[in-house]
Amino acid sequence: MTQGAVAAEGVRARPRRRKRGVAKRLAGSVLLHAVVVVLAVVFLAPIIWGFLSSLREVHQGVSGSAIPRPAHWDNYRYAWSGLFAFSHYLRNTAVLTFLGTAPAVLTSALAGYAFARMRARGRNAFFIFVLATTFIPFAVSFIPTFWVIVELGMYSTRWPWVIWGISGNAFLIFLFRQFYASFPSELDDAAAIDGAGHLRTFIQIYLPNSIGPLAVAVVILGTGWWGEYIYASLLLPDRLLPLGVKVANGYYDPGQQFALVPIQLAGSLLFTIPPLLAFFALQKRLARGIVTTGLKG
Amino acid sequence: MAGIELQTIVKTFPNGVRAVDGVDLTIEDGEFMVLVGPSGCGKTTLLRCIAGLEDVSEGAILIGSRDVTDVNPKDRDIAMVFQNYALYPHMTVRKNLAYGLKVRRTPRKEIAARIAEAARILGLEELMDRRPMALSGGQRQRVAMGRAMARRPAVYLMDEPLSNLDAKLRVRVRGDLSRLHSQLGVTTVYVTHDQVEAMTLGQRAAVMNEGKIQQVDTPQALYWSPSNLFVAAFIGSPSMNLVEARVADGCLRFADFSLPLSELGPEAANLPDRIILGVRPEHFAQVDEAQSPAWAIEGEVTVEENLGAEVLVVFPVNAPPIETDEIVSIRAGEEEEALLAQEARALFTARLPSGTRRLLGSKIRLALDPARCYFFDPDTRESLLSRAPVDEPIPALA
Repeated sequence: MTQGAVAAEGVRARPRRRKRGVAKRLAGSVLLHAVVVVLAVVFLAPIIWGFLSSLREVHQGVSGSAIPRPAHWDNYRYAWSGLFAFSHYLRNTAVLTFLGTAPAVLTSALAGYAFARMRARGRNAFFIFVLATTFIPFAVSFIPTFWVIVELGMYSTRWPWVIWGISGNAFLIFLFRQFYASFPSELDDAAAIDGAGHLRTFIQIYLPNSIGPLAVAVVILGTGWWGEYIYASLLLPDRLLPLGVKVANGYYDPGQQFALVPIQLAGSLLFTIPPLLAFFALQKRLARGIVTTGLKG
Repeated sequence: MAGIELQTIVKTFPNGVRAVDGVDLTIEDGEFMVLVGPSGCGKTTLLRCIAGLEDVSEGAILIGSRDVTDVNPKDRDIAMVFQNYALYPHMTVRKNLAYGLKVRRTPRKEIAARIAEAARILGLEELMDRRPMALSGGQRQRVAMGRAMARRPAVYLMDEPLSNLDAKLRVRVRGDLSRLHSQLGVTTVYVTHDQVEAMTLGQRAAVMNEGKIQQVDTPQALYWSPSNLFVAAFIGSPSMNLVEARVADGCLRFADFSLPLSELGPEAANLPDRIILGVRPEHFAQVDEAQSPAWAIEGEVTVEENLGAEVLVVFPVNAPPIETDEIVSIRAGEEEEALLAQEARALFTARLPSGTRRLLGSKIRLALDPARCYFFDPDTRESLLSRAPVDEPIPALA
């Protein structure tokens, strides 16, 4: 083959190769979108089903056509004020979520800073110990925790939530430790020369630069406490119960014969609105936090 | 303002590494002292010891005759400029400058006045409300300097503050730093591995290797009168040409050359049988066949670099390169970055005047001035013959 022929072959081969590349990319994109759509359907289907069922007639349960006609929007009004004071229990949930989340995020960040930045003998061994506590199953710690709470006279109070709050969270400690370990050590040095001690350095230098991880921590822990059921239903009297427990058990007909499922579903959907709003408010910072803390696997 | 006295400072890390090994150094009030040496020589650790960011294992540090060995960094009356500037990312330039003063509860009016002064001197007025992320490297460097200045400390400590700047900007900021020091007159300790910075900025420079100070002197003295092989090889760019030579039959012999020792005068009697000969690249002079200088060598040029104002030619000599610990530690960084494996023969570099005809691939004949050759003991690595500093500009810096 002459050189010219080789070149001509090359010219013909290039567009074919390019076409093949475009087709490959297109197929990949279609597959990716298909997976995303399937996942979206899997996650959204229960919510859509719950929303449609919440509009059914109270005694109809969940049977009947997929789209209820007529739609009983009154169920939402009834869920809010019909059987119990929705707002009272919503406030209870907010208080318990705040007690369990805000101090825990701060103490976890502080512990993460200490593990990442303060020199102390046995620091790494202690960190591994703290991390190891995340591997203890809930079923193992549940009864001893309950017993300790009762023995401390905290039964029927919100004190356990305060204690859980100030004692931090091992996973979040790990999260903050990883994040703070990536800070240049010169920042600490500069702060030390400027006259800042460890606490001041943490509060004035590290915390303001941790908005992303703080958002991640608030969402992870906050959503957990918002929907917490077991401890709340076992430890708290009715007046302190969070909404999640009340929604699950409070929507019965006056004779307590059967659950008013459409109203229960309406209450559940109302219950999910505050964390959803919080999520949307923190969405950008959350995404940045997930990147900076290396949470994305 | 205050001088600094380091009394037999030793710093041993928990892993057993002795980063600073018995350093004694007195820095005069208002002096600009440079700590220079290759990577890992202990210069930054020594600076951090002065700052109080590292505890010293042995010895004492005095700042302005006050023993600060066990004093917190904030109470040492120092300010530090870091290699990566260490500006607080969430604060504006103004807040960065004010932070140290605020922590020290300086009155607001005083803070405002000091910030304004630092901003005026460093030309930061336009940048005061920007955050570090919105600044260029040079601007960040100025803010870091401003933060130190606003504190009005007795001592400035600078840890390679120019190393993140591009070459052109570095030259400019180097000049600015020099001017700033003459203006403020504050005692400054400046760490660098760049000998050009050391030679141009320092009133004196301490050359360090393996945690020890090798020589402390003015840049001129370090260049013209190195006290040992390490200083001779480290200071100067291109570095001093070194080769092992034998003294026999009244001649200095290395490779295929024989140089009559009579040219050295009575000093020659002090030379042992084996020596390391050192020649700075600018101390070669090209000669032709017709000339017959007493000391001359020949070689085939393998590399020629025409730099405009001068020409550098590289040629191998038929002798092994010097591989002492000092030379290895200086070359450690270069070797990692080098493209080709090291030559088995010693490579000499000569600095010739501009206008020299093209020499690549041709034989070159070079004369040496015996009075400007250096001689080192191969065992102790100490200089054998003293050389008085010459009142000439140092070629690489001229």
